[in-house]
Amino acid sequence: MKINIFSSLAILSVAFLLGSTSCRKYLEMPAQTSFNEDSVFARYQNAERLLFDLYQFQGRALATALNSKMGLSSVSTITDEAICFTAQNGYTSNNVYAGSVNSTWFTVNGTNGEDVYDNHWKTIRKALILKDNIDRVPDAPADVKGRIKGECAAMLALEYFEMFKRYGGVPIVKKALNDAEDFIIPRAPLDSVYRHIISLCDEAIANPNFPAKVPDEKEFGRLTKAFAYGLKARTMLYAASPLFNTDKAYQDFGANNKLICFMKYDRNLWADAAKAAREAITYCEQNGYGIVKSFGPTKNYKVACEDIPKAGNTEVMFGTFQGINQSRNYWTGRGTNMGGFAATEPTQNHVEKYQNTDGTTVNWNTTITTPANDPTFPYKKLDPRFHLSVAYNGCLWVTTNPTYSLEIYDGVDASVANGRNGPISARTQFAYFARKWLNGFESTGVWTPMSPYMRLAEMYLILAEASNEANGPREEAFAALDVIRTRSGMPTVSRSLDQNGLRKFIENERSIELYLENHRYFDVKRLLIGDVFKGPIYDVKVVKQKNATFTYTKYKYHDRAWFVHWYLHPFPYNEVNKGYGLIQNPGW
Amino acid sequence: MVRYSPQIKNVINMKMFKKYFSFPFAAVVLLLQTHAQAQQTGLSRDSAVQASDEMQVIAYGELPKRSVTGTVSSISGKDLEKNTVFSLGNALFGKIAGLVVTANSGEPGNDLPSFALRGVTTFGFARAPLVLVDGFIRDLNAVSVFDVDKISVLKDAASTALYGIQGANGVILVTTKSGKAGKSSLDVDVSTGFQSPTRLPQFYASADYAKMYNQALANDRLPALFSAADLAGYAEGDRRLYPNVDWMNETIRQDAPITSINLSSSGGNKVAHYYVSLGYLKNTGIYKNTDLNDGYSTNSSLDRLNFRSNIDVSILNDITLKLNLGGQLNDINAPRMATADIWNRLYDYPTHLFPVYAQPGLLGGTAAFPDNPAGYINNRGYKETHNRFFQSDLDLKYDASKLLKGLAIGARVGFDNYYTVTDGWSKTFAVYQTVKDSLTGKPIIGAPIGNNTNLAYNSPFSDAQNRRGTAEIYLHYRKSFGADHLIDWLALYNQTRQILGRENPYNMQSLNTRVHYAYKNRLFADLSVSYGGTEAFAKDQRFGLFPALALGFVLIDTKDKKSAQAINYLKLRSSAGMVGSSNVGSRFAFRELYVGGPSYFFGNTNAAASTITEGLVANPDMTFEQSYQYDLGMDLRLFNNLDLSLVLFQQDRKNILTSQSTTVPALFGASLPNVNMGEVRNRGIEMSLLWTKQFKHAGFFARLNMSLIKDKVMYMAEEVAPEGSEYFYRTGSPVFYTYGLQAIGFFESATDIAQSPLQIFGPVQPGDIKYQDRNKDGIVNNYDVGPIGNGSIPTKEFGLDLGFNVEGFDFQVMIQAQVDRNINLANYGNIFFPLRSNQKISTFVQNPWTPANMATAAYPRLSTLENANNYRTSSFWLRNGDFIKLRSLEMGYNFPIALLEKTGLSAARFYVRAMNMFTLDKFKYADPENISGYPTMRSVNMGFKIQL
Repeated sequence: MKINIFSSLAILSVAFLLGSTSCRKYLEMPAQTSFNEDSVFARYQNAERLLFDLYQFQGRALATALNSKMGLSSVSTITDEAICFTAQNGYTSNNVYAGSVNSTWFTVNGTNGEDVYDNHWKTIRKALILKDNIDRVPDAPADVKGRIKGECAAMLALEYFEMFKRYGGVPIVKKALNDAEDFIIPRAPLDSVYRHIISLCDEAIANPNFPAKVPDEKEFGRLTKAFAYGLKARTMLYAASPLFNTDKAYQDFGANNKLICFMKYDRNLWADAAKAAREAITYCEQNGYGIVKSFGPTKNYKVACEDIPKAGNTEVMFGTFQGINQSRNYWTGRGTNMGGFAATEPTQNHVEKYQNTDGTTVNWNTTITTPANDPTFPYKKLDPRFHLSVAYNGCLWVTTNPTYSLEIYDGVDASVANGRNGPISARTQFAYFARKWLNGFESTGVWTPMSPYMRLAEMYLILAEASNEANGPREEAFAALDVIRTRSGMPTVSRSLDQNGLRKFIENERSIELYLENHRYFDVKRLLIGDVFKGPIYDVKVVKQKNATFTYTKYKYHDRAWFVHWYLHPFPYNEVNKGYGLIQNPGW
Repeated sequence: MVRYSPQIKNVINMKMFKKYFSFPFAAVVLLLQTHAQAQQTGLSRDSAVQASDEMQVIAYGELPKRSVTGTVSSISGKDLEKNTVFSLGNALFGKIAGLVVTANSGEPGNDLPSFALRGVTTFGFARAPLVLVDGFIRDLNAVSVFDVDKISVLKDAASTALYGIQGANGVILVTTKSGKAGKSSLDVDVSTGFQSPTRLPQFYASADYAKMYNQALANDRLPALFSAADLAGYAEGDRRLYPNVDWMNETIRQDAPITSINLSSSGGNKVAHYYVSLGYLKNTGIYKNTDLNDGYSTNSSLDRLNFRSNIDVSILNDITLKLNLGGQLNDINAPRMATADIWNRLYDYPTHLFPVYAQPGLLGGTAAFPDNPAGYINNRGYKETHNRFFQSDLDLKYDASKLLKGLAIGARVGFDNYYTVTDGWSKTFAVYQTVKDSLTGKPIIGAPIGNNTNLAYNSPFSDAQNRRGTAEIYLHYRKSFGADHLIDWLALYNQTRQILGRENPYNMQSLNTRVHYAYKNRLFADLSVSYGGTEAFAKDQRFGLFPALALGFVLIDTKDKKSAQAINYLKLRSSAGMVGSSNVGSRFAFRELYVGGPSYFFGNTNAAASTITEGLVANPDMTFEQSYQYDLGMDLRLFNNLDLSLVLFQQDRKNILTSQSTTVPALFGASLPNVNMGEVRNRGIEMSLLWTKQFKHAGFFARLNMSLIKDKVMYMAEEVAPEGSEYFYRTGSPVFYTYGLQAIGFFESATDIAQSPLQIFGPVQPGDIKYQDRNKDGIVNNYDVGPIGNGSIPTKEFGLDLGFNVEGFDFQVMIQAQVDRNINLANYGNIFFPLRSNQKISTFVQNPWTPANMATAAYPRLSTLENANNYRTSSFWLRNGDFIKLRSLEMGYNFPIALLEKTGLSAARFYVRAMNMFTLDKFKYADPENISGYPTMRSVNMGFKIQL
């Protein structure tokens, strides 16, 4: 009996052993499913795709992208440039107007805020991995690898600049992190971050394989050496500006003041910025870039801002073609022939920044009554850039047959029909609609926008501003402005302006030239003139009278909140709460 | 207070009732008057008390009920047959204490319910119990309800330990019927009836809508849209110009037919016995006018043909062979457009913009609303899904008693194939807008919007050949030693490979053993151990050892004493063990992986450049979830007719995957893998009570199943909230507890807003929801989100079966109740957030806020725009979802044998059955189980069953 038990047990054990040994590999994963870092850098074809991925967040953050910022309104609407449809409370710009901005949403993942803090670090990691490993690729020539390294350096500079202008000093990560112990990196002083950006720009500039322009139009949208020059000038302009270039922080931060300003005023920073702008302009113009001026004064500006290089835009230093058949609804107004969401609409404040082509300005302080049936009377002589940027009552919206003119007015009483795009018919709020980005796409419904991040025009504006600050109102500054103005049919700048007058003039000119390009919000902050965001924000009431004249009456729409601690962004609340020592900016 | 829902009135449309049932009823009445004595009752009375010598199916085998030490509940096929269902899962409502079954969509071919065994035990990926049919992992719904012999539900670690790495969520074992030696018999069961939605969401008609829309515009400080003339027109005007379309009524029917036919035969002799069956089901959907197209229907429907052949053969006395084959052919027809899109249009499409038909044959519509729902269902083509399910298993067992008495050695293989493919034929349709002629004021029809196209074939999609192969070898030894000792030992090696489409194969391997020991048939002990692994994890994390120990002791059994005691039987049992769950939702996390990213656009021509991006960082330590389970149970029989089974349990689930992103700094820059750090504790009581009484000519029974279960998150990685916001954390609350803002009414005025804490979700106006600033920091933001009520999975569930028979007549009902559950209306914004993205206004909206009624308002102000402040989860949107449902009701009559003798039949039965007949609940507006999408069905049918 016992023998039987043991023998059968033995048989069984052998059977199990056989079973399990023959199946030892049964649980192994098939080898071909593993595609890791080594596999990526084993072929250039793969490494190149990693490079393309580097741009993922960049392109989507540009002005015309459906960029999910501010709850699908745009960053422009939290400046005096524009306003969003205030009845639509999904537009988080409304929260900014009301003063309810905090670290739980303004820079956190999601669609509500102005920035997504995490995304900067994702791109930085990608750029570091690519830069440190590209030499491993066996099947690519050295110059191709060199170019990618230059691109990575420029991308790193760009990401640090984007954080620098928003947060001040941030941690500096120099190698892709892998070990948990390495994650604890404190915020670097503002000065170190500044120097880090400049050194990255210099690295890209010194790279012999980094081209000035993309060699093939198919690569439009990739970073170039011209961009590295431009970013260096832009970074220096921000560094020289009053927000950072001061011995007194905008809000006292005690021992941490060095995280939010340089803690000394250095006038030479302006001279550095002027020099960098000069170099950028020289380099660009020697390498095939140039201010767009061959399309005539009423079109040059449109080509410079909205067209692709193939269509004659020689000015864009970095920009992205955002793809065909996009929805333009977030740029168009509500109502007939628009059908949009009125997410971004120009303010009267912005309209008043434009001069007439003879250098005079329109007086909006009294009601303007037009001649009969001449609704565009107040706007007729304005800067051509106005007509390309703002849609207004009576303007020809659809220029091709059948044409369509906007009727943004209400009738004075029931006997006068309301305009079809006016507040009553279209159930909308403001008298202006955005036109920039939509020129040529008014009637199509589909939209194929190009979005510039940096244009040569900005270099001239930097040169003018930095030169004026460093050396006073000299010819170099005036001449730089004239380049921008004359190509749009505007008169040259009066040489009689003093330094302060010119400073104001340049601020105004930047606001016009760089309209809706995501500059205004940061310009106001770096210049420490945040009170302009308080408003009042004006609109104009357009009424058609019984005698077919129109009255334009400027009225205050609202005041907005502004707080000193808003000069820098908050780090995301949950990031600070991870407890690794990230110091929150003051006031948040 | 629970009241009857108003819909109940519509349950039985008398006209239809007469149409279908008047004749059979008359026949029944006649028969009742003339019948002789009943020979059998239709009642089924499964007891949860484990007392008898009847065999209980357990993991890889069976044991007499009396000697089972783990917590196992079972239900017989006879009981399940009392349900007219198209998926087996729908027959299990309330039948097993602790198995919470919740109905979903009633769409033909897509009506699987969801299960939670012993409530919520994890916040990890997989929560559904493992299902095995005849010992092999299979889809529960691939078995016909007629072919089920019994279903056992294994609830504690002692019963599930042999399923080791897959056992943590509990196990459902389905055993199909097999033949018995004896005369062959043929059973025929035929039934037919009709079904209709339990409830459909309703929306305001045009006149009310227009008024409310103007109010909403006024609230938005925008001019009104509808003039006084419009309002009058919608109230009673030319419906061509002022339409008022009830889309539900236009597209949904209330009398969709259902049919079921099942034939089965069984029998056998000493050498072999067999059970074979053939079944056919037809389940028709509820869309209207689906037969307007030539040659095809656009209705949703299921045609199922299923067969089973189970054969047992004895070869050479000591070898037995068991071969089970089963298969299903499902042809599912449906409108071409996705079900969810159809129902969203039924909810969204305005009543007031256009009529169903602009003129006969021309569908109405506008450029903004081109998907006229009647056309969207019937004029966009159709699609057919074909499922082919084949199951086969073979068990070869050698009785090795010659070698060692009581020893058996065997091998089993199972092979299943599941093929599914969908073919589509699509087309588009034109709609026509009716406008008022500005001169004559008469309606004129505009140019077509869209095109009428011909059917075009779409190449097959969702095309997959899924298969699973299992091989097992086992050794079973059962022997008594003397009068007092019995040992039952099982050792088994199992390996499984499952292939799902083009995914990497899913492989499992395990070595399992169980030793069962009985002392004097009174004291029982079981030790079960499984050592199993899966391919999903790194080499050193792949295998786990899963042990469980259980003890049972029969204290009282009056069979021994033969004295008339109050307590006839008492057994106590207890178990402890650990089982795992390897389905954590992530495989091969141990490797570093680069994956394709979204395309990016370069160049002037919009060329999309494909990208590669770093995937999740590797987690070489990822492993299975572990569940530590403890059970304490009691089986009691009183007065020979009252059975009580009571179980207390606790489960501690560990190693649940939880995120690291709340702790690792963003500057790391990569996406982080989850880590095995979460823990959930779950405790509960399960009770089953059965009371039976049988008299000479009549009998009755009542069975109550009840479970009270509460779970609690012990650890979960969470974002750190500001001090004073401790309520923010989910740790300490049940897994699916609803978290949201606490609504404290509506803002009354601008002053009220100014004086209240700032709400950051969007600018507020009077009439918007006012929230409590829980942490009193002066602003209401996401950190004021806290626990506001139960989730949708109930903590208390009750199932009540009642039945009686008088002579040949029997009656049985099944009532299920789920208590302590909530419905979060914010999850169904397409119904409950009026006018958002041009939606309609549901009749759930009563008394919305206006300046005039602010004291009594019951809904926030209407708005034509997005309202991020109001439309987010808060206590305002959380509604009581408790319900009591009459799941099934059957009345049957068994014809007396005397009457049948001449016909050659050995049994005949006639029955009338109703499913989901009524619901008692507080929600009332929609079915509390299934709020939006294709509705849950109720049905009424009649049938007969004969045996030859």
